[in-house]
Amino acid sequence: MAYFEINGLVVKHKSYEGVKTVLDIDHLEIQKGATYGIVGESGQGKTVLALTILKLLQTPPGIIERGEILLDGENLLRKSVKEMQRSVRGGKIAMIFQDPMSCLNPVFTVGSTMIDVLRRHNRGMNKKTAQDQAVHLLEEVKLADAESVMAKYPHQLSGGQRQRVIIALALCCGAEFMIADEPTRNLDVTIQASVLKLLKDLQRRRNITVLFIANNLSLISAFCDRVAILHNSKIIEEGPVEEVVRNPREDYTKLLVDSVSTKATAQPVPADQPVLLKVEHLKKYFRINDDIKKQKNLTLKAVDDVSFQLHQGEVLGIVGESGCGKSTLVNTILNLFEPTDGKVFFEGVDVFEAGKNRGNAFKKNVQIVFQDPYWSLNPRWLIKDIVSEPLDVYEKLGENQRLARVRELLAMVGIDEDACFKYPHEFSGGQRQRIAIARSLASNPKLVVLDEPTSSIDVFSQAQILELIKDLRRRFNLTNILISHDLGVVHELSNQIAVMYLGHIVEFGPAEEVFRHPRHPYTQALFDSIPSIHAVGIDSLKTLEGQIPSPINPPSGCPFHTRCAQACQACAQRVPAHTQVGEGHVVSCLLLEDHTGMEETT
Amino acid sequence: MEHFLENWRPKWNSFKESMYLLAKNKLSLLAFAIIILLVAGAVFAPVLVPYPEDMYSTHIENKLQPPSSDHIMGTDELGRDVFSRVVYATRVSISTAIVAVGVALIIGIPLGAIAGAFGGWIDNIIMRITDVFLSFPPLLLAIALVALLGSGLSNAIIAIVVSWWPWYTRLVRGQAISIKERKFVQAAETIGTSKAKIIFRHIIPNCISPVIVQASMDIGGVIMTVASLSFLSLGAQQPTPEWGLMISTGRAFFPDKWWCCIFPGIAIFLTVLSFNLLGDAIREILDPKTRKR
Repeated sequence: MAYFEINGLVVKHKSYEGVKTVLDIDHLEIQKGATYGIVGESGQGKTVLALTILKLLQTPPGIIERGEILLDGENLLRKSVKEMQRSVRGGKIAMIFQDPMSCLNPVFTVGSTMIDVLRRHNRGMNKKTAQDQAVHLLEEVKLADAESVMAKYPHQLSGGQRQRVIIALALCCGAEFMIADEPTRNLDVTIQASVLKLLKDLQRRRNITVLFIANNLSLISAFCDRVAILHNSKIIEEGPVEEVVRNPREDYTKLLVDSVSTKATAQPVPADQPVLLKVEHLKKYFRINDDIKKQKNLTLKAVDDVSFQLHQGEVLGIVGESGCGKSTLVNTILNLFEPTDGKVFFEGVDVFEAGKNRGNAFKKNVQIVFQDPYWSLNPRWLIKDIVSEPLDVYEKLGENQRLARVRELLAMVGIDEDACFKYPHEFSGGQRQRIAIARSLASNPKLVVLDEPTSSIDVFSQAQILELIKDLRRRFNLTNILISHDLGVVHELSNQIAVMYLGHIVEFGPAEEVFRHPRHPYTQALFDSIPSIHAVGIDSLKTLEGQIPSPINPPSGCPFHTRCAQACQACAQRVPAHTQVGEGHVVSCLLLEDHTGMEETT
Repeated sequence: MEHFLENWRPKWNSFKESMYLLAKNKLSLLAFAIIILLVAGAVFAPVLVPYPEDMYSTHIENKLQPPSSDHIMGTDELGRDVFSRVVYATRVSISTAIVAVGVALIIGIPLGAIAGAFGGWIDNIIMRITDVFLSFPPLLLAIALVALLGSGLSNAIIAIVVSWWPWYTRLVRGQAISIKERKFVQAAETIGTSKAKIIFRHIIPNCISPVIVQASMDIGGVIMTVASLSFLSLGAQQPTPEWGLMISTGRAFFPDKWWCCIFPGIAIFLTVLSFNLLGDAIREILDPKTRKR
């Protein structure tokens, strides 16, 4: 008999729309010591499954209709909440939640949380032993300086550190079955890789069985042995990871596999186009006061001396970890933030100078599509008003003309024209993103900024949205700036890449070239830490150790030297210059500076 | 929870869902029924009550009669039918409350939205002014103002508006600050939409839900305040039928002639309770995050 088994489980959810089945699993079994992955998009019942196993599902509105969940031959659904509390939760099954931000109580220190959990589960354990054990566990999850972490509050830790604390908490009671619900969501790829490695390491060492829930197949293929695909609350496909990835049976699985496979060809750089956007030594510093440490007027260098130019028809992809200044850069270019220093030229006109008198001309030509289509459309407005918002600012049209123009725009993005008199909530994420794109095109802009355009919509729509963006670009000769953490999307859409680190562009060049031969150590590390669906096994992931330094007090010299594997002494002293390593390919790294220097001398 | 969150989208909940949520809570359904009854009573008072002429005329020979089949709630010290006056008083209370809350909303919402949307010194000025008003207990401030302006219903309304608007300003400001960060506001800024349009068309419509909840609960509170002011003879004046005033005059004969005080008291109690329950129900409908599970 399998270690963990689910038979004929049906969970329903009651709402005003009636009773809806949210989970319908015929059979699922996990062997002892295995890592089992469940993949599905949001809303397919992944989290409901985790909550049902732990009997944490809210009933009502949830209804567990029938079925059994067997752990070591014991039916968990038969147990009372009290029994679950005493013997199963924590003791036998531990859960790692997806948001490390919200599942640590902010008013307790890490130490007191851990000691509390340890003592609750081991009656009679004294405080000293609990403390020693907590430190030991924190060391086991490879938190540097465990003693001092014990005394810290959650907000003083970084996302990656918090997730490690959560994992240590899950280990507290020696559970042998662990449910990890998207444990690396909201973490940067580089940190994601190290958290995954840690989990795998612990799992091997302690022989823990892991049920790993994710919305992305490439994570699963790096981490798990077997995988089940959850779609429309049913398991539609199940098997060893390698096999499912290589020969997906169902159409949906194929789509999932497709969505994470890189579709190779980056777009070529169009030749002989005029320069549309030119950014010169742009700086954006924020003045902040640290009230706790009584330090006034600290400078946060969010964007530090960035220069680049963009020709008409080009697509610039900006990549980097969160907090690297991608969004600040774009917002400053868009004139939403006051720049500290530097210039931006749009069609040869200084934007910041012009902003004072004819800012609208620039705004008309530059539009943005945001990441989250749920919040980027005003929920109280009709679609026709949303799409025509730019029209109302730039062209005063009569109601009929306005409506005709809205219909035209909607048709361009493939939305039915009777959408005009509906509200945003009547559309799916993908459709909303199309509406947002229609709005961004209403003023006939020349430059459209895409801020993570596909990351909050389902895989079915993602591919279509990408096609739409490509198509519109061809038709209107649009120039794009694309911000994305999904390198696949960047690869597919961009023809120029800028890699940002701590407010600096460390590498800039034609997409094809940067993807094939990343030259900066940071770019290499970033690319290597991304799980690839075709490289099965955790060892394919490389990790980038250490944390991003604070932009308030950035490292001297090269900003990356604190985490760089190839750093030498000079790196801490001298800021690397921009070195040309190929046609339009610029890297700021001392190693390459020397390298080209040598080439020149020989 | 992800699944449930996924199903929750920012929207006006559909009518169907609202009815489902309302019907689920029996108590709020009851409150709703009572309020409909009260409003109907206020509107149709002249045809409903047995002695509409008792609003102004007196029958001294018939004074202080206990409840009977002729006068189901008895008569007061001037021989007027208590039932008729209690029903008529609904008109006074509900209309005063709606006018007072309405005017407070009209002042409070735009000020709060402006403070939240602009921030900086504008925010500072508006909020410091509201702080001054908020530093007095509302009833005390209202009493002081009526004392200043002279007693009477319209002065009572002014006093209530003055002591009530800062609460809405503060509520809306908090909402506006969070709405301001929403992407559709940033989108409007990149589009070049004017600040006024952003405030009135983007921000205000999206921070209105908690204000509606607060306002519907406040109607109960304002009815209470009007009654209190009238009880202190600062609000409605004789012979206007008003619950607080009726209790105030009936107090002299309590507890022997209990009906003069008890019935207006019950009317206040039921009305205030119903509006509070209705406020809870509206919150459940408009704001799914606070829903009890």
